[in-house]
Amino acid sequence: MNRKLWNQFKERVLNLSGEVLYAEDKKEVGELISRLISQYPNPMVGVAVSPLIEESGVVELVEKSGGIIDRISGGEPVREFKIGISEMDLGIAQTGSLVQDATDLGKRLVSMLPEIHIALLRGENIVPCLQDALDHFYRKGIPPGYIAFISGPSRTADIERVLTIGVHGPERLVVIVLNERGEGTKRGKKRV
Amino acid sequence: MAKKEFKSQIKKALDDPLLRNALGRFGETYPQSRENIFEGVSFPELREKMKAVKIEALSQIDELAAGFKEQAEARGAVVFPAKTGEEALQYIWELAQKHRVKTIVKSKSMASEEIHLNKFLIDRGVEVVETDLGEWIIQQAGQKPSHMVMPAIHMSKEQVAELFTKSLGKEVPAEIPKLVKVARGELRRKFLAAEMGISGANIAVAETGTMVIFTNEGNGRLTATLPPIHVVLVGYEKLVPRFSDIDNVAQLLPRSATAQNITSYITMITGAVPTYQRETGELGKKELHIILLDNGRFDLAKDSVFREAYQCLRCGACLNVCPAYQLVGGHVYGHIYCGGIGSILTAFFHSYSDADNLQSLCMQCRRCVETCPGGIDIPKLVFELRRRLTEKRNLPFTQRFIFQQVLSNRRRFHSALRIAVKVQSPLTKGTPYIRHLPLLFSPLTEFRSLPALARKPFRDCFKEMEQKVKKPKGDIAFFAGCMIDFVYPEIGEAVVQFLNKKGFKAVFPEEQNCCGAPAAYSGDLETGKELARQNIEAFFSTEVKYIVSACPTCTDFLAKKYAEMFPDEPEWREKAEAIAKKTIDFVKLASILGTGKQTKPRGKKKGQVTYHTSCHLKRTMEIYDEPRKVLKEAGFDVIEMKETDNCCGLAGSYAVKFPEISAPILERKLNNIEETGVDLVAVDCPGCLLQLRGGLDKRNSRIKAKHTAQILAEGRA
Repeated sequence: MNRKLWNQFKERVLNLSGEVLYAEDKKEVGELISRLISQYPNPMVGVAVSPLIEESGVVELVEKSGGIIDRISGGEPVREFKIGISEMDLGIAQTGSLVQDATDLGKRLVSMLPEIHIALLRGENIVPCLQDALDHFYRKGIPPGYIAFISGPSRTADIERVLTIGVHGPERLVVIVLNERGEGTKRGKKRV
Repeated sequence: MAKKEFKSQIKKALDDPLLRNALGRFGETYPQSRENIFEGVSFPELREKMKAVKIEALSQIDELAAGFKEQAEARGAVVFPAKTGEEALQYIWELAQKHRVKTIVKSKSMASEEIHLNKFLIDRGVEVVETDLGEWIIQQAGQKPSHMVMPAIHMSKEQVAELFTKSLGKEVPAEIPKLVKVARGELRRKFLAAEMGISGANIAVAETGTMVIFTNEGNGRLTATLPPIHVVLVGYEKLVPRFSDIDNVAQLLPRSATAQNITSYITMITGAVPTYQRETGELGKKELHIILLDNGRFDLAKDSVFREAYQCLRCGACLNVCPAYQLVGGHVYGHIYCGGIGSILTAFFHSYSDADNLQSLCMQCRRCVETCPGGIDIPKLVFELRRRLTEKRNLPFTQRFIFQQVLSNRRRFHSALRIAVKVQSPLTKGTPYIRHLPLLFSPLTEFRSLPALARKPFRDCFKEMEQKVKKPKGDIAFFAGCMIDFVYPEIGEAVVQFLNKKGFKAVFPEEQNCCGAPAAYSGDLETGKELARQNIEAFFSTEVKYIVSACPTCTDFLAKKYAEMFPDEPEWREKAEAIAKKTIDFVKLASILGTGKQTKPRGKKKGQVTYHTSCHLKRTMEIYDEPRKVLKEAGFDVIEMKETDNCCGLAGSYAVKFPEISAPILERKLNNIEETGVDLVAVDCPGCLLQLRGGLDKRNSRIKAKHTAQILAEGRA
């Protein structure tokens, strides 16, 4: 993970009223998720399955910490849930955005329906700017069916121009950045 | 809409304290927020790139449309090119019938408002729900948007709470977070029940068939995802050639619209994606229908002048800085599309007559030109629209008479003015101001005194001036313009004195007349041209290095507009170009010749001055630093006022047509001047001077307003 990009990304997400958490291994990811889930009384949790989600044992953790799991895989009636968890493909340092190929219905639903969205991101996938993200998805000349750029929680200023968080989308966006190789951060350097 | 009704709408908007307050606060904060958000990014570069992309797209519009259709359909969408709004409406209606659609959720789309889609569907028994919070609020209130980006800016939280309480049948407290929560809950039910979602799109990419939607609330994503059918209504102007062009729009659109780096959500949809099918309970392909809307856009694209409007991103930045829009908002300054650019779009998408009232509110201050990310010269387009409208319907009789019978005949015009000097004395009561006008004309003097016509016009004063120049370096011709000639001859005298001091003799060609701007800006280009010919003749034979004018509107007209007026008359065009080369504004000339040591008493400061930046000086001639430099050299401390380049509200005959809008703009300017604590304000435009002096006189202010030439001339003593 590039330290400069990480610092910029983190600052931007915070500026957008998002939250950023840092983990150095999957176990830590799990702990952070458990802690977040336990802040709510038996919440309904929607999980869009991806390799990182599986490897971090998210499903078991959610159940252990009192959450009721709903694996979103499409083909089921759309249900409302309190917390959504999914993995993002890219982060953009310049804008604090998360980017995801969200062609899969489940991936789309967990980031747009719930009040809380927990987004997992691998630190090495933070790119400098929006153009890099466009290039990433255009590599083969065929962009995926649905690309989602998410920058902070859902917001409006439609009543009296007062910025209010959480209209149609999540009111809380928590980004967990996983930096497995521990590079580029103070904590990482100590370990080397 | 009749003029009278229009006037009463203006009054209603101006009398609405909530609207005034909200729009005013936004107008005050937006410019700074915008500047901050563009920090570290080159706006001019991005704009040039954007303009190039849009011009490229326009030149191959048919190919791009065909490419887009092919790509999107290859990915499972259906693309329908609609020639008219009616065709688009029918298409959507048939689709809705086929799928037995009862409820439609909508994400804000200007194109859908343009074709009156909601009314059309509701009349046919379909429930149509706007899901953008502001749009939902005004939909329930049965109103029109008062602002393009913030449609409900005119309502207080109390009013919204009352509205929700009434329409939902349960008590809703007037607290913004609670109101937002209520809206979320209500609209979520609609999202889950709706069979069809309708949205617009901000970009359509030809090479991939991708559509891009920018939203903050997240309603756009729900509209595109939850209902099994998604209809996208998109104008041809949204087409760009390449996927990589998205970046350019993404850099400019959120920054320009709401001064955000990026919106909360950017959604890029390419073809039909999986969706949950309610009937089968299985995962299926989405029904994605894309309507490419023409509805006048191709006519706009073919128009040699108005095609520039094709570069519009619909961001609303031009409205955010427009002095008239900041006062009256979208209820007045909008048909569907708002402001100056709205008047052009309205002329093509609706009709010229719908555009008429809109265009009349443009003050030609050119503020919008600085902020438009598409690089559109909106005032130029409004100017052309005004000309075409005048061609169609003629000016009102008195104006036509003044322009065509009086102004264009110099002798008649000047003798009329000389007579007016004699008859004005009952109104001036011996002062240099007219403080009250009777009856019909009283709005003109309600908020500022008008200057009296000078007893002796400059052309007479000039003859009596002794020009003492020791070793003459040459001659400089002076173009006075009506204001200096007949209202403020002392400015002309100051200019001559300054030139003499610099070693030049001033010449004053007697045959010069009004520059023609007032007639042309009112849409009477013919009279404008006639006056241009007279002035070109008067100055063409003078052998001078410079033609100096101390009125930026005149300067701009002589230096820029004359040559454009004769595209098909090469002889006049050539002469006009020769005149243009020599024409220079006084303050620019002063900065070239230098005021320096001659005007500065040894080592002593002359005091403080604040400077009002005139619209035409800054935004057509790009003169900004020169007056500051000249005043500093003359020994003054220049204290900058807030919003120095905001219009003073005169805008030529605008103050006569819309005194009710001109007045509050002047108020704000005077407040900014007073805030500096300085008792002298310098200005380079006699029109602005008239407005500022008149306003200061009404306030009994101790602050004096003077033309820079006068300050420099006095400085010598």
